[in-house]
Amino acid sequence: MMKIQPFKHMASLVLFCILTAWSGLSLASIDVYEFEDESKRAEFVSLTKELRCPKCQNQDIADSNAPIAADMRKEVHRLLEEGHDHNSIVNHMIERFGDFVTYKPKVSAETIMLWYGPWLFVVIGLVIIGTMIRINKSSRQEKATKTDSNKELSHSEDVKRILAKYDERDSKP
Amino acid sequence: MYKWIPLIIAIGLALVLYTAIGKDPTKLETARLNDPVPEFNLATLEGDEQRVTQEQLKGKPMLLNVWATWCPSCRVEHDYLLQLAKAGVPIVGLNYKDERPAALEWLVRLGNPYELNIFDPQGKLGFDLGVYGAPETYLIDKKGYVRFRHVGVVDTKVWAETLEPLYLKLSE
Repeated sequence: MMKIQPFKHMASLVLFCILTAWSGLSLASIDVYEFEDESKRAEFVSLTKELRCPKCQNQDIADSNAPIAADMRKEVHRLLEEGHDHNSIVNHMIERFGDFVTYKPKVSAETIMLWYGPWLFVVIGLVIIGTMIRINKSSRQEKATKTDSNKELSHSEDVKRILAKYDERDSKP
Repeated sequence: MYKWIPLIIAIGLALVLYTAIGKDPTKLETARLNDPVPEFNLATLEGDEQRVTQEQLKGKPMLLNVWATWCPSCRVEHDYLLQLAKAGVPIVGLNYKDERPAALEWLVRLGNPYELNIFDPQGKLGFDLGVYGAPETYLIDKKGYVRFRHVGVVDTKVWAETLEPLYLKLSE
């Protein structure tokens, strides 16, 4: 009995792993499309991942079950078979549904922050870090020179005091 | 001086984020706004012999209402559309991805607010217009240009607050 126990655990673990991995698979689009050649199939896959379903908040059209996503897949297939290229198909969709439908919006006044915002924040961060380092350095230097001059001062005062003492002694008859 | 920087950043960020509060993320821009209605050649709901093209949507400002019998919200706004039609607002229907007998039966049973019904079972014109969910109501000017789109139910409030002012302006 005791010997079987670890095997049992192992089996359930394997089952768990398989089921977990399987649950991530997307089985949404079941419609089948025929293509003239493999490059068009690859283009279809990349387009349906780049185009966003207008009815869903955050799903590409490859992943969505919404009727409008099915229509868009059909349209992408039709346009590909007609010989349209990637950009013209994306533009075809934007013309109808707006910039929302692409996960890679064109650079424009409205989307410029999406494209370059992160870089802007990196630059701001670097400037802040640089400024902080500079402030830190200069204040430390200031402190250092201050203590140095203090030392010098006290040193010279010591010397003065000692000399004065000697002077005093010497001047005594 | 430098100790104010985080506060300034926080206030800036708050202002940016504040502008997005209350925005409905399911409402999309109208890509066809201020464009002519796309070219089409479709049958009327009544029969295949009669064809409709974009030319029939010119001449006066009108509403283009996208509807279907499978769409529950379309049932909700139907009675209000009847009222609008009675008041003299021209409404053209775009029967979207529907079945002809069901649609005709619906109009007989509930009343017909439409001057004309375009039958679009494949959703072709719907797709070219950028329809992503019925009901949608477009305001078309007399030259056949899309001047506004409302997604969702048209009711007293929507008509009074958004559609009517625009409609009256286009009717001048």
